[in-house]
Amino acid sequence: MKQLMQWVAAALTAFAVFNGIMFLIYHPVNEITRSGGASPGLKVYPDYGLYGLEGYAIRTVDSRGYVNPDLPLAHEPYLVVGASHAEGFHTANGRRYSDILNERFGYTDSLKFYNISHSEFFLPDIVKRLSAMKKEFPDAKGLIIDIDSTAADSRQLEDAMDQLGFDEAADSYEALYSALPAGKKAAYRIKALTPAIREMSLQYQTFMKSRSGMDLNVLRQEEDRQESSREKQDRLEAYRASMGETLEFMASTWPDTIIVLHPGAVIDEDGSLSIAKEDTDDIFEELCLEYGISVIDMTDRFERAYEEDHTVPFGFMNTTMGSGHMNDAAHRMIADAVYEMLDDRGDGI
Amino acid sequence: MKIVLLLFDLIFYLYMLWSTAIGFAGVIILIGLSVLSWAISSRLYEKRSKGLLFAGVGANVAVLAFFKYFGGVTGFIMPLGLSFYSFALISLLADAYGGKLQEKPRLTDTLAYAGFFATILSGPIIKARDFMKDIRAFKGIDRAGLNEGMWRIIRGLFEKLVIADRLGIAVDAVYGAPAAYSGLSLFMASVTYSLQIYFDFAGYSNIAIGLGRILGFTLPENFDLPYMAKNPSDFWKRWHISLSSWLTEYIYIPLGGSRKGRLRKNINIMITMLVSGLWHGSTVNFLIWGALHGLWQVGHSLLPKDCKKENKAVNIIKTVLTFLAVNLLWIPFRAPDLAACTAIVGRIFTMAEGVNYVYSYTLIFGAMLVIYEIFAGLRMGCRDRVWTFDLGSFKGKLILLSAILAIALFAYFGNTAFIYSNF
Repeated sequence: MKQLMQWVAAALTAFAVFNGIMFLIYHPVNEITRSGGASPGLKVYPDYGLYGLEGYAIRTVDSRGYVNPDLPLAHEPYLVVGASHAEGFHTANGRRYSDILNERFGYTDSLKFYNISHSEFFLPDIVKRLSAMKKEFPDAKGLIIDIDSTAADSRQLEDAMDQLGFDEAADSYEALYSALPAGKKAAYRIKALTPAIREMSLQYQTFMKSRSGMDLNVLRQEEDRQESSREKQDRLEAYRASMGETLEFMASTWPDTIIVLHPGAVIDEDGSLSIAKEDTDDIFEELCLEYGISVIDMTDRFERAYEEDHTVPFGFMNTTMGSGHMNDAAHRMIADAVYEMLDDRGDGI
Repeated sequence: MKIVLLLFDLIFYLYMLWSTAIGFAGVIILIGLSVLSWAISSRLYEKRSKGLLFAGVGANVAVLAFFKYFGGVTGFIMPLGLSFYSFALISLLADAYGGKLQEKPRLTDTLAYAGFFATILSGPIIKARDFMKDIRAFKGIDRAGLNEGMWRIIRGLFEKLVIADRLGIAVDAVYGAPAAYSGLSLFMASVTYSLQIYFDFAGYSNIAIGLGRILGFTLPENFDLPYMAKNPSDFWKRWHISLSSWLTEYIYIPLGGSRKGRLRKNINIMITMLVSGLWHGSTVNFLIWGALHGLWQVGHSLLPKDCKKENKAVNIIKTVLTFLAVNLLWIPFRAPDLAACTAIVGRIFTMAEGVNYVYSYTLIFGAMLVIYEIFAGLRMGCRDRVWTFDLGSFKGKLILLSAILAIALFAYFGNTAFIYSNF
């Protein structure tokens, strides 16, 4: 019996120690998913997110359920919307481009650039919620849409035209949280207090994924190779039609839209930096011009920064350079580009 | 029980080979070389014959050399572990010839020796006389060794999964595109590799030694804080000890060792280190690595005695300089080819501009090793030790569960293979 008690006590002590350590390394935010609204889910407040195995930052969740400092919205804010790159859990505190823009324009007590980004929130999903964004943030002046590729599936874009809505009584943070059963709320609290268990779960998933050995890039390349020139032409024509419809709708819903395109960049064997290109890039930029949507293509800035002082826009000191999420340098470059564009307009931000 | 062990060895080896190009043929090569070496060593046990010894050694070296140096040309893939078990079989032949075996070798013992699952992939290289003693006494799981073996395995898993594999991702990235990185980044990547190869190989060795201990086998130690070495010969007494010991006993001493004058001694050192380089791989890089280690040892042995004085401060400086030299020599070992190697060394020494990248985990794990080495220097006579704890106590239970939790939480689960199974 004494031995059993010792094992239990040892297990609890070991868990307490490592769980305590994990608060400083890995602490994912809990999330309440929703069908309507400006994003696919809201984070549980009050909480913080920390993903210290790639970059390092402690990001707080605000009372609206988005990842921002808990400050009031400024008059006519810009919504910054994108996937995990823009959500910026990996960049240092205050170095996310939405945060830098707030600082540059002098917004320290309120948020002029309000980040509503969400992991895996890609262009078709964003388009599907354009109307919901308008309803959830009626005072918003414009959108800054963050994408890492112009490629998109035509069918998904067409589906996205079937817009989602926003119902204050069902989709706001207060409504979502108060509708949760007590058990679910307790589960969120327990999960927030036990990051070690969540890290173990993540480790298990990573282990299983590495064992499966599936390489999606290889599959993608196989697909690319199998496409005939005729099929490619058909795909690009379908893309032009659906993207044209999408951007026309975007321009009518959000006349002041800026699209930030930051394609992936990898370091090649010969030491050069390769910026990813898509065969849809030209069509995309042409259509944006046609519908009056501003595009900030980061390709040139990324290439110039690498040539001038070997700055790599992706990767961190605790991962590898040229892979993973945008780092502080990329966020700074995007902030510079957006700042210059808005400053040039001179419309009094 | 021996038959069970032998069957397990063969099934394990077949499983490891199954997904490789050579497949079942690899098992046939293992059995073939083992049977041949057993037949010759049985004769050598009864009657010393240089001709037979050379025939046995020649057969093992020929098969090893064929796969290692001509495998790429002929399209034959080298079976996993051939470098290790062929050296083990040469040890059997030499020990039989030298009268060091207590009994005439048996076929089953020889097969279990060459194919021992714990050591076949990456060593340690066991000498026949030691293994044959243990296999004769083998009775299955050794209760006395269970505790020690378990702690060894835990330590090995931590070294391999938590430290080495995580360091590996940075090494692969920088060595994959050296022209992109600054001189400082390349130097730090070389330090990262020094740490990676140590923790990877020491980790594997600890797992192997631990498994052996659980089964009642006393496998030779392979590492003894090598980066605390104060000179090149000290380094080789601490790094891959089972290979160094094998090379000393079966190459350096038969060549005459230090018994035939200073010149012959230095030539023998060079030959031994070149063999070591060739054993590791077929490219020019490995030959250069072996040659440079040989030259370094020869150069060190030629230093006047005044340069070999010791006190605490001098020892620290010597340790740092030895590490820097070892670190520099790992570059040809890791670089994909000679051109990449010269480019990396050139960029380091010219402090070339490029991407600045200092991997965080190099600093973390490097600092951990330095702290442990300082502790070893102050408390353990600059020697490593196996830490074991009594599982009957609360402390033992807490440390065991903490270690398991640390591995579960911090292991890097990527597609990484043990580095030394490639040699």
